[in-house]
Amino acid sequence: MKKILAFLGVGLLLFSNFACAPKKDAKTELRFVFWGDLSEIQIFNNIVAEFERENPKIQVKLERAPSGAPYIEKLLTQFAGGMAPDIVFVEVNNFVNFSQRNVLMDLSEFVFSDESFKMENIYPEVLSRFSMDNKLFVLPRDTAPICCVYYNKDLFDEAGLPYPKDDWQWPRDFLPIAQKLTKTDASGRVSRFGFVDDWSLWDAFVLSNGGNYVDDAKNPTRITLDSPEALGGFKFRQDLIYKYKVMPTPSQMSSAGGVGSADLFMTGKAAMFLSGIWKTPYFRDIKNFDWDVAMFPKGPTGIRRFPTGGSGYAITKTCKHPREAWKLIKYLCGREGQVQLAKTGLAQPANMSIAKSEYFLDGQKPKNKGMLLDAVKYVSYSPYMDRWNEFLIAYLNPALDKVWSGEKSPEEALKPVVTKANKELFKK
Amino acid sequence: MKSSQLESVWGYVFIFPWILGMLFFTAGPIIASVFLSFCEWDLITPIKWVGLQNYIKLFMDDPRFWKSLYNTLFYTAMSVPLQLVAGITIAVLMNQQVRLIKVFRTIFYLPSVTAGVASSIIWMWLFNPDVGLINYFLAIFGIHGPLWLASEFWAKPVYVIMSLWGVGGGMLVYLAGLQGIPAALYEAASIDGANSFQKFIHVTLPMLSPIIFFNLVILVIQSFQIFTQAYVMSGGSGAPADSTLFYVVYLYQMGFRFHQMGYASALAWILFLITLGATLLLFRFSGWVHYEGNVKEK
Repeated sequence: MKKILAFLGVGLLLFSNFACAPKKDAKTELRFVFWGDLSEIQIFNNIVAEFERENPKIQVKLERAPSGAPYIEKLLTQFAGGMAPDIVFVEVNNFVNFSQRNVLMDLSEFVFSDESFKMENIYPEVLSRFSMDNKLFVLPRDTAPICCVYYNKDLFDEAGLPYPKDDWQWPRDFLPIAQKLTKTDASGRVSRFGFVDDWSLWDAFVLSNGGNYVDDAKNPTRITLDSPEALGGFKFRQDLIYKYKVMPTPSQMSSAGGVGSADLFMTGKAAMFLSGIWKTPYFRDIKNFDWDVAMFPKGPTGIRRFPTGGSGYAITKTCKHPREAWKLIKYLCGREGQVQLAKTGLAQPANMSIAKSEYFLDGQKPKNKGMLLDAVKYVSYSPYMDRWNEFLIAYLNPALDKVWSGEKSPEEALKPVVTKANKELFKK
Repeated sequence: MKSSQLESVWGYVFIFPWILGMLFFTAGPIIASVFLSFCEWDLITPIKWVGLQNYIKLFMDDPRFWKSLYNTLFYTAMSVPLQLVAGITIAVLMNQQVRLIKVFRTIFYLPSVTAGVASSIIWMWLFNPDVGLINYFLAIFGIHGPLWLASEFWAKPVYVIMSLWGVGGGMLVYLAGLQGIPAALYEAASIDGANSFQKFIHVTLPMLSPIIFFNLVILVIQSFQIFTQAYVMSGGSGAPADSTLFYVVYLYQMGFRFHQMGYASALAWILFLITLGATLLLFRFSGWVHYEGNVKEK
């Protein structure tokens, strides 16, 4: 018995000894967590390798995390466990989750003291999104207005329709075009849809109908998705599906063979497709038809607004080497990084001078990409509300499922959940 | 040291890694979660004591709690009996003396060792309304298959059907039980003129009943904890319209998506109490279980 215990004791001692072996590394190590698909990983790797060559004293540890909801889940858990990285890749929506927990470093001091950094080159809308109380927390990388209506030129030609102009309106121009492009086969089954969106992009309709997510995006006290304007936007999208039948129902989508709506566009089964500019690299593989983009149409009263994505880099408060970290994120957002990003066609650089340059407007498809420079003026961001995500998942989406399945009108479905959410989510 | 003592010492040595893991990684969080269930905590900002508020809200003012509880009970009520019957049936079949029986046993056991995420993705394809094999098969008989996971009505049954995929684990235990039934009992029954159905009812089932009971308890506990499949197949959302929002999926959303660790801890403890209650109830009504060599007071 004693022997066994002694054996185990020695084992434990040895083990703990190994764990405490000192590290001999004079280099400053920066841990940088990001998400992205293969082409983005490549961009990160290239730029970081270049940076390390110029700064031999700094070593960057790149760590890829899953995108979407799991990203914030993983990172907040790391923050809670005292394992926060030095630099995080942040996106306009999850920025709220970080900033409201006060885990990001105020970059203002660096921005103002570093003469080599030109803040006036960056879109003011994006800077404003990433600021709170006049402090800047994120250095913007790109902006992504979700206003790109990709359209199949061949199908427009076939139907004898002129290509959409950027100043079109949804009831006057967009709807009749979508109706003309929708095709039904002999059995009454829709063989081609006039319009699809990348996911349920109701925001675009709600916002351009004059609706709003909340009363005040920067300081919300009430969700306003039950206003007549907002409900009108939801109703229009529902009508596109059930009344005009130019968009697939959720069941038609799920019987489409597990393909996304982007695939419907790529295979010519949808004539128009709404998303952000990031679809461009995929659509450049389309061989059998010509395509371009138009800005998402204005609402019935001429209002033009749409949701937006976009991302940037932040330094965490617990970072031990803020000077080196600033050097890195400045480099990533600098000319090199922005040019590389622009060349892929994946994103619109947050740096206006690069966005306006031939690197972004390189004459490749989509030809009308330049409209994005103008589109930045019309973007709306999700509210500064930590529990916004909870509102979407726990309140809005289950109710909207009933709207998109055609069981309930937006008014019936949304009024009660918005009322309940307003009662629940703003409690202090 | 007596040999029996030595044996128990070795027993402890072998479970030592587990005890260490339990103490370091599980015991602490379990104790912490009791405390957290009376608090408000978003992982980062300081913990705030709120007393019974989480529990009160849960019962008085949280329709999604009831919805998730209903979904989970529905799943348990449908899948546990099915899995029991399927497990016993397959075990009896696998207990026959036929050629290649070991190959069949392996095939039936294999699904229970495949990773949950991978098999969930395979099932998503099988249940695809348009190109999935299941609707293809139904179409052969002229049946227009439902939308399965996209339909509020059919989404839960998908998980019930999927649960049959994992009966291999239970089958293995039944099989061991079946092989432990003395042949003498069957011989005696034959002499008494029993046919094979009567032998099954009067010999096999009673002799197997402790194992059936064991599996029943384990299955009920497991069904209350259904998570991986539902997380993968609905992306953790419980869609459509919360029809696949199972209890643990909701708990996960609360904790890791909405960052309300206190509320999630309260949910976890309520689930523990429900599971404990269900298990005690099963023990309370376990008179049908026959313990060989154990004179039970009636």
